[in-house]
Amino acid sequence: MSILKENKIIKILLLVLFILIIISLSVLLFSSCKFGEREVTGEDLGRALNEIDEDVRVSREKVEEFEKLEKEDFNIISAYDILELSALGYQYNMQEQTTEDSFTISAYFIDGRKIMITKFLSPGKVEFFYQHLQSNLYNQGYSFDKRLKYSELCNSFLSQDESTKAYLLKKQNYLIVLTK
Amino acid sequence: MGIKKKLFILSIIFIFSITFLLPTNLAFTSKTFSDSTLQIAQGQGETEIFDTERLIPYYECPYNYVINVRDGFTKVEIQHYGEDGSFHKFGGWQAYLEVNGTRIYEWVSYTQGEGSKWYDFTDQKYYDDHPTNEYTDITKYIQAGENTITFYHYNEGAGSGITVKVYYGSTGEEGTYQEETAVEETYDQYSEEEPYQEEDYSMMLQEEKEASTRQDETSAVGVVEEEKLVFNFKSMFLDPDNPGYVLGREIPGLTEDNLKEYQGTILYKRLLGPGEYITASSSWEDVARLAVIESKVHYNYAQNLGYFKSIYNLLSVFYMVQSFRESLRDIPKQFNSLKSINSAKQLIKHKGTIIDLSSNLTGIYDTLLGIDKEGATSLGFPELDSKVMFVIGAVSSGGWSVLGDISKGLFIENAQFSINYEIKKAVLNSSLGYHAQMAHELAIKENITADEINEFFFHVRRVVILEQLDTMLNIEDSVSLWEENRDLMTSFLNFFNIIDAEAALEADLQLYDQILTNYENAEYFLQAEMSDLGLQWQY
Repeated sequence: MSILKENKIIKILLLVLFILIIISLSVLLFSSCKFGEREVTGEDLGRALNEIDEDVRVSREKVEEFEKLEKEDFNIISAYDILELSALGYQYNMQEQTTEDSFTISAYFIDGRKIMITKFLSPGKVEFFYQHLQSNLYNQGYSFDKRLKYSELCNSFLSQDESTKAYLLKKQNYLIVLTK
Repeated sequence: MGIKKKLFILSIIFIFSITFLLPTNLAFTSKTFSDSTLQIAQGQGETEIFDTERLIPYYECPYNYVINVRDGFTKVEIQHYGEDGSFHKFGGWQAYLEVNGTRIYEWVSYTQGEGSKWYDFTDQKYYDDHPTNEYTDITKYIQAGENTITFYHYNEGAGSGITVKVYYGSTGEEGTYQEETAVEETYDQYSEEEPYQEEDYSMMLQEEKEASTRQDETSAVGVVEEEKLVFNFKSMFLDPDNPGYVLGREIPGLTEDNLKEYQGTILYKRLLGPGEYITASSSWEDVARLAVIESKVHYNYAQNLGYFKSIYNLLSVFYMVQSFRESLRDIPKQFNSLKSINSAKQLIKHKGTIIDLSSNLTGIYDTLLGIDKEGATSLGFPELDSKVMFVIGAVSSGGWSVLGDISKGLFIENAQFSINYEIKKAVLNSSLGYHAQMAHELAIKENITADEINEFFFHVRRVVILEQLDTMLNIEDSVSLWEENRDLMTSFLNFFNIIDAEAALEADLQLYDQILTNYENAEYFLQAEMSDLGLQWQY
């Protein structure tokens, strides 16, 4: 290859590299300018906030009543089915209550255990009802005990005299409260 | 050199350039690129103008605008401008402006027909919306090099822009900037012969003289009455027989070392629950310590009870495709930072984090309400929460917020289920702890200056506000229990054998009434005390 040809190729390559650098610089500068105005979706933001929740220590404590519920899809079984699964074969007295946006059954077992199963008709309502109920339990003398491994969210509380332990489980549209 | 070798060297140069540029760009904060760097001030002879070149909306606030001032400046002026491009001394609703952390002005109040009232810290004067001189002289707060201007406001309009004019060398009255503004605004009223600018300038001088005289008077009062002042405020706010006692609660044996031991115990409930609420306070430090504990309790509760898990569920399901500010992603960092604070001394170093967290949470609540007000409310984000979180942020920043807007009546009449109770209580107590600790550090000083006395009252006033708000949050939490889902909530409480919950609510409300009355009394005494000292109440 002649020196002349070699010089020409180098010149072309130099030009290409120069253009590439300019383009890269422009793209980088532009994207950096946009950086400050970037937005995230609700999903992204939710995931970021969930990081805080992931720091909570989760206890391995076993709650027999909730064991069988873990594998069930609550969208295809009823509140009565849930009660049967968590009754562990014990006898109980039952009450029902219907409000504008919820259906509740409460069962009282002969060994003193109680379970309250509420289905919320609006999927969002269960979230804030769960939160609000917990805050009020705290104000009524119950203190937070621990987070448990079950389902989407499961917390236990202790009464002031420590005689009663309450478990609050949230799964899909259901809020289940168990006291022992 | 062979062609391959040359190509190799060129490629290395290219890769190196990219590798160097990429992290450099990513490492810069958004503002460096979006505003400051691209809007580099252009020198105009003896002056240099820095301009945000856009209006700053409320959801970007507190907004930090960094300017780089060259050595040798002689005067620096700052102004705002609105959508119509006209310049003003002040900008925004419930706004404030700081230069390198020093408060320059803040919004005070609004009266129908009269407009807003503002307080200018630079000359310690109150102003209406449009004073004669539509700018503020910030020369003494500026240093050569980087300066940070922090602007905060809260309204949903287009926002407000900031322009800063830096003079180098002579600042002469012939300075075109003010002249242009004056001509533009008063062209029809003044002929060329009329010395508008001179008149303006002499008025400024007169005002400066008056302000200076007042400052001297204030200092003189401070010196003469120093001994009396120290005695007075200590007796007024630390004496258990005084209404000020409600500002704090006694925690026997509590020290910073054993602070952690109390966390999550039944003792918390006894100390913090409504029934045990009012006991004597022995010092402002105790008030601060208790606020730190209480904030930790609520940060832990917000986390342990699954508040953020619920937020995750709501955002990921109901607002999946909606847009939110990216800076909201900093919430976990801010939350963890405040949650890990174990002492009031540590807390005062985190003022900025308290403001940032409350501002970001306000941002989430506002965005949800903006998308669908009814939907957001039904999911536990009532409008009042956004307002409460805003007040906490404003009070934390030292700004003034009219608590009158958030009255007990509002909490009772508009009490709604809120998902945000724990986080509101947490951030509020961080802010309260900050102000109480600041008050403590001033109260224990052997010799206190007039300025420090002013600052002391500044913090005490905010402690009172936050304590009132805290009481009202408790009212809201109790009342909302009965306002919505009454049947369901009754069933739940019966289930927990809490059969007298409604009667307990009545008792709680009476107690809250008493607490609020005590705070009102504390405010009257505070006002009287300040008046005795020749200090202004509304600041």
